[in-house]
Amino acid sequence: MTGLLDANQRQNIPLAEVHDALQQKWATLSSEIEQHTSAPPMRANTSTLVVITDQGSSVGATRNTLHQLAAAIPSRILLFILDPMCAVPSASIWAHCTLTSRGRHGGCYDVIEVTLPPERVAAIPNIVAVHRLGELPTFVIWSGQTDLRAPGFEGVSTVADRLVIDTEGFDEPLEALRDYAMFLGTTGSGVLGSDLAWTRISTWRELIAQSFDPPGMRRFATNIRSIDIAYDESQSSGAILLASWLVSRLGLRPVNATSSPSTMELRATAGAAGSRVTVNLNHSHRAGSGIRSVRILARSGASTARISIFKNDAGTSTARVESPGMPRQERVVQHADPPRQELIAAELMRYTRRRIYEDALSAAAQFCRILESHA
Amino acid sequence: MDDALAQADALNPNPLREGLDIERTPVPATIVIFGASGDLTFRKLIPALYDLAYERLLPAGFSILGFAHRDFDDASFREQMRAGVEEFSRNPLDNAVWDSFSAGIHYTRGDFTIDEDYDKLARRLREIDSDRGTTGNYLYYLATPPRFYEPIIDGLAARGLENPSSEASWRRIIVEKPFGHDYQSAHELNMAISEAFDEDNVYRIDHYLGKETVRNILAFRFGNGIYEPLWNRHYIDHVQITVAESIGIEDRAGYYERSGAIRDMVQNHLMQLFSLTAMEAPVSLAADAVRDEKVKVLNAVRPMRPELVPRQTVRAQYGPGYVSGEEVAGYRDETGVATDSMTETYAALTLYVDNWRWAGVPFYLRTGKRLARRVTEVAIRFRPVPQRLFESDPTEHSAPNELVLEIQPDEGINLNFKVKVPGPTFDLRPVNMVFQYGTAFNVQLPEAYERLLLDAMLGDRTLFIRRDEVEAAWQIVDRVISGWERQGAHSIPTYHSGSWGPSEANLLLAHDGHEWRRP
Repeated sequence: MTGLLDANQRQNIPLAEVHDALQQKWATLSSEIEQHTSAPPMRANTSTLVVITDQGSSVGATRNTLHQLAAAIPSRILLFILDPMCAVPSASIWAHCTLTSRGRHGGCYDVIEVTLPPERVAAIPNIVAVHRLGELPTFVIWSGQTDLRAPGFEGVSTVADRLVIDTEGFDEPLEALRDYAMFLGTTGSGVLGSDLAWTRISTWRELIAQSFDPPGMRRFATNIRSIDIAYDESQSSGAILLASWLVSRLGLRPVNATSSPSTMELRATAGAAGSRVTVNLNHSHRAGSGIRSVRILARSGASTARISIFKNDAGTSTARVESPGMPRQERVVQHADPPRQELIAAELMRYTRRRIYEDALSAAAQFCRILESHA
Repeated sequence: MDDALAQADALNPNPLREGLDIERTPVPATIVIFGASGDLTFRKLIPALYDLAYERLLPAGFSILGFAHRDFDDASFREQMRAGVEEFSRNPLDNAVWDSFSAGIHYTRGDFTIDEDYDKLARRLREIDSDRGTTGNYLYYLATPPRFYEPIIDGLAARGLENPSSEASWRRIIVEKPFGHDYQSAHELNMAISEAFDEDNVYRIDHYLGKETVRNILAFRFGNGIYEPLWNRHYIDHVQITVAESIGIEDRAGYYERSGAIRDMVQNHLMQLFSLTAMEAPVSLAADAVRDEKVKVLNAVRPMRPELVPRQTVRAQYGPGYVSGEEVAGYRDETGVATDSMTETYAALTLYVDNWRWAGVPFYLRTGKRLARRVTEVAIRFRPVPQRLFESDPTEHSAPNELVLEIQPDEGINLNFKVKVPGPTFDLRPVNMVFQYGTAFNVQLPEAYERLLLDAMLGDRTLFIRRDEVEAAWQIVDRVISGWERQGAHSIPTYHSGSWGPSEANLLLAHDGHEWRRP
């Protein structure tokens, strides 16, 4: 893309006039496009993306992220800013088309930014219903921490096909996961839930799963003895979800759990024989580094296999598998932390139920309840 | 995925795989590239393999063994391949990823026709198995001129390298096009391959099938309910399939003089697009279910009788002209081309499919070099409305509805229909509804070779061409070639470089009251 055609932003539009204002803006932009390319603009939208934020200080960054995202995956963006200083709801609108290097235009998108007082959160479903793009999927992303048990949260979910939160931004991630599991399990809206904390650990899941792909390693997948995950607080939720994913996929049965400031330990049993498995979540002091390593020990009969995946400094990880009768398998792979924009883009590409995520979330909720019961 | 592989995976599945974007990754294996010092390896294969490694799709232990006549050692071959990755990979060269990937790159100098050199190859493969845990899984890639295919297959078979060393390991072979020069030679090549490899382990590659947009033809046809009811003789007037190139023959005169457009493009790329467009719905997406339907429709193509070849086909050669504002030479003035060459650089033909769906619907196929611009597309022309209702519609018959599946360079789907021009009268004009992949999914599409190499390592043959498919396509093309030979012409029509082909091609459609669309 080489350029961006941008019909000027209009601000402070009363909500009742947003639809007409947007039509007018598209008419202006269409004639501009036609002047540049001798053809009217084409618009191939893929979804409506609703983002709700009460983080006043980061609105600018959120706005930039969304504009970049919509340029890549053309969508209608509805950005709701919950602002305690706002007395009367109002909107700003943008319409954009990108110009390609070949003098054609690429994708088009528009943004409706609505500022409203937090107590008017119940008005959001109606505004979404008016402005969303027909039968295209509606994704609702709740940015930042919110009360997952509040009626406002439930109300918004009624207009979402997929609801996305980011439990990494919550003060108590384990409790947030428990509440989210409860919400998704009890809401009658049929909304599909997701969590950017889950999307963030995709590469970790992929690398762990790959370790068990060779036929010779499959038997070890059902004979795991210990799992150690080292992380720091910037990815607490991700570490819990990663452990919960392994627990749910491997059919481990939690027995008890303990926690201290530096570690959480889950003890479980596996298989018909009830072999003991320990899952350790070790809090690392290296701030801002997220999940640092995953080490898995498995024992099948007299054979032992060790899997270790650890992050290097330069956006790569080293994945190592040691198993009997094989030379040590080691490779360095690209493993950069995806920026928020990429995480949301990944969410927009998926529209099917994520049963594996739901299972992991349930396992996390169970982990939380066991810890509470042993506290 | 192949049924057998799916069953094997189902018996002992990886419990952590479900729900991940990537269904599975290959087991550690060695890809042996015959002709590793050539352009295909440098520009396509190694960059594609690096991209797979970068995207975390290759297992630890994955190895490459280059085998060719040029004098490299492991280090100098790696250095050479690094340059190819820097220039041609989609992803940036990451030193740490490259170091890890390139540790698995090896080279053995050898002559494809010398038996003893296959001993060296076998020794080297055993060493790699031992050092990197590739456990006897070998994927042979024939990136050589076709004359070496049989010596290589014989060389492998003579050393037992075609046979898996254990029940758990595999030996597969990828064969690059051209698959023979005609039906007979393709059949003989297939026989030679089948003496060493089961058909299940043979992967005939046509990189067109690895393109996302070619695969999307299946998604578009069979993932939407609204088109399939229209996809037949009752609603479709005719189909035009175009594979146009703006480049000339570049430095491939030696090859091109022997093949021409019909062998170079029609027998493979055009036949693939044709069969995907015309086939019936497969019962599943399993490799053989899809390929069965493709073969069925190829077999349903009405055999072209020799006396009909002049009426149903056109061949021509490019003359001088202008492409992108630059003056370019004619075909016979290209280096390495005979001044009296009769090789066609343009071919167009009309095919009829004798089945219930397509009876009477012509399929017009065309391909050529040095045409106006590079474009690949499938255009479906629908029948015009049965009654002229709008008197003021000058386009009612000249511009019927059209659906265009654009394969390259602007991947997308266009639907052309008519609307009323605003105003007091009932004037109609055609408009386009355009969907472009790039505007809806602004993501980097993987290169065709990435997808195909990965599929071959995974044992998924869906996007590879089966033996009977190759032979059925050759039977269609052979009739055209023998018809041309029967004509015994001493001259061949020419077209201006930078045009859309010879005027004779317009007559081909004019016979049926049609005309070529302007892509």
